[in-house]
Amino acid sequence: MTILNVFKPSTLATNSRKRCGADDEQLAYAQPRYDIADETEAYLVSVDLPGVAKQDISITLRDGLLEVIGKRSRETPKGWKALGEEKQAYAYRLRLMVDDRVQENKISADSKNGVLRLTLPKEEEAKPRKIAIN
Amino acid sequence: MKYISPFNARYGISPLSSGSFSSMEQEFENLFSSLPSFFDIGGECFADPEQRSLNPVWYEHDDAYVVQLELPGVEPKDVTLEVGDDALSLSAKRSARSNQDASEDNLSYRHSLPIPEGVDADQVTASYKDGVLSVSLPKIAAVKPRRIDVN
Repeated sequence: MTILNVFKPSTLATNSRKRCGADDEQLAYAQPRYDIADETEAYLVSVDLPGVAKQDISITLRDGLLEVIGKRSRETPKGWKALGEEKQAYAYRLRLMVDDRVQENKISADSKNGVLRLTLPKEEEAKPRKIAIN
Repeated sequence: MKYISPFNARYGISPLSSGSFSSMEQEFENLFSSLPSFFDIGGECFADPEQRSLNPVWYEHDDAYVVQLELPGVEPKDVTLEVGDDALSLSAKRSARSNQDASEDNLSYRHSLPIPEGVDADQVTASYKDGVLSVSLPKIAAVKPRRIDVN
């Protein structure tokens, strides 16, 4: 049974085993760690977005594609020197396909301690049906 | 390199009642093994089965070193941080992601990080924001750069 389909960005321009991929807009994206839990009433998606403030998270839903983008500021604070190799700045991006098992207009989100939690309420037909015993 | 298009190839992922990361990772490894793996970071972290790298980033100032570690999903009070002679050790428990997880082994972080010499262990402080732990390691006075006047 399929609930949420996931597909990766269409092109990955990287020749080393780094986390980042680059897409057409030349912005480096990395897929964050995430988890999907199947609850009775809803699907719960938890996305790890460390270093991203709530206001830097954008969540959009279009044509069944749910996209989460989290920008992290990786600038070295003034007066400080970064040790080791300069880490490339990147944004987190997660794309999930949402089908009609989900009530799209009731999707809600909440962020705490660097983890974004999306609640995707199920349509009635998708909820488990209890069967009474006579 | 495989080209994955939403129109001609959709990979269905079956729901996981356990809600754990590790089997999702395995499914991804199997499906997308020709692509660079996003989940395999590889660091010097100690065992927790998910092999989460905390991605330490170091900065230096005249007075102190700072290291930032990624620790999403913990409450600051659940973090245990200890400073030894040449290493920092950290452990923290993540909050359960959903009600289903409650009875399982919650994910925990355990990490030991080597630190530079010349750190004043008594003055180490840490703060936590948006899933990132910043540890500030002040330098012992003798290690700070000292201006030398030239006559």
